[in-house]
Amino acid sequence: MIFSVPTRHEELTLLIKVKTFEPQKIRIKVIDAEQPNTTFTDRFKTVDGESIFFVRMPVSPREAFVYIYNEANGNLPVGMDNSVSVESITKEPLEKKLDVIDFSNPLIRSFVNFATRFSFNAGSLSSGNYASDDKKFVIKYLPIIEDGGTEQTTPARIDVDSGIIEISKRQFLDYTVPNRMAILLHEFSHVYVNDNLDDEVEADLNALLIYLGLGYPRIEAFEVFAKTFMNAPTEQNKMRYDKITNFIDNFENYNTFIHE
Amino acid sequence: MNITKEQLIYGGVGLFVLLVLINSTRKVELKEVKETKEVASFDNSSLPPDLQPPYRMAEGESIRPIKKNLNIFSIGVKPRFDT
Repeated sequence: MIFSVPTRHEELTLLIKVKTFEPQKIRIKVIDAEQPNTTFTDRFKTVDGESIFFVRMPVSPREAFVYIYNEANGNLPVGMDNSVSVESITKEPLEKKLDVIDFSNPLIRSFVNFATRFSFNAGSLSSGNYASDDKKFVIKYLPIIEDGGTEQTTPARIDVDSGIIEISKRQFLDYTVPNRMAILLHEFSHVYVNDNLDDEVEADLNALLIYLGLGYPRIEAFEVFAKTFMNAPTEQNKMRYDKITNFIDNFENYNTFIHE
Repeated sequence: MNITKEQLIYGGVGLFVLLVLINSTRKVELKEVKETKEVASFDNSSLPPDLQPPYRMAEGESIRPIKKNLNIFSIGVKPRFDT
């Protein structure tokens, strides 16, 4: 089933209520109806009875297409699949925690604006170099990231000397808009927020603080870090994943302490 | 039955909260679409300013982005990347 939802570029939370009669793996996908390669969430949950999917959207398209279907049967029109029904779709205000973000820092203000616009449009942008309005940040949007002719598994990296961020377009096209934001904020944090610019965990947590404060969905953060770590399943990455999980849980429960 | 001033205030506040909740939740009319549109020719000029694509630099144009901390270790012989 595909439903059209007029989201009008507002920041909002979509509440999608579905019903099944027995445990079914239900997939929810929200995409931009107009811009290619622009997905806002792509997730599944095993639903038994009634369940609500919360899709937080700090940025939204003019019109969104919401895909809802049982993974076992594939995407079928309304009435063709009795294993799942959509009870309602509602738009609610987005909950944000902007007080955790240091917006008095002009670098953070500028980069959040730049990263938001880049992430939203990355699906239709051509390869090339992009700069923030104040010309403080540059992203090289490359077809792939390579070293010595070999394609790298990383979707993004930052040159710690120049502050220039390199992005692999091939990988970025498959990421959701929140995934892209999380990656960009991680790279930004390395050079502009971290005390120790080589510290991966510090960059993860600094990025997450901004990401969650802006109201982006938790699940997309887990997903993007899991994807990245699966490409390099080291002990350090396992530790990073555990710290991220712990941080997100604490953030949701208002247990996050911010040290200035 | 006598309604006290206190009950009136509580009633008024309750009604206000209820109205705020009702107005902040908007049910969407379920409108099914059969096929997704052809999106090959997306026009981003209609996007609001805060969602417009970022500035695309011209070929050969160079911008020296700012560095947070510039010190002796910032001067590298070879680029050093953090992923």
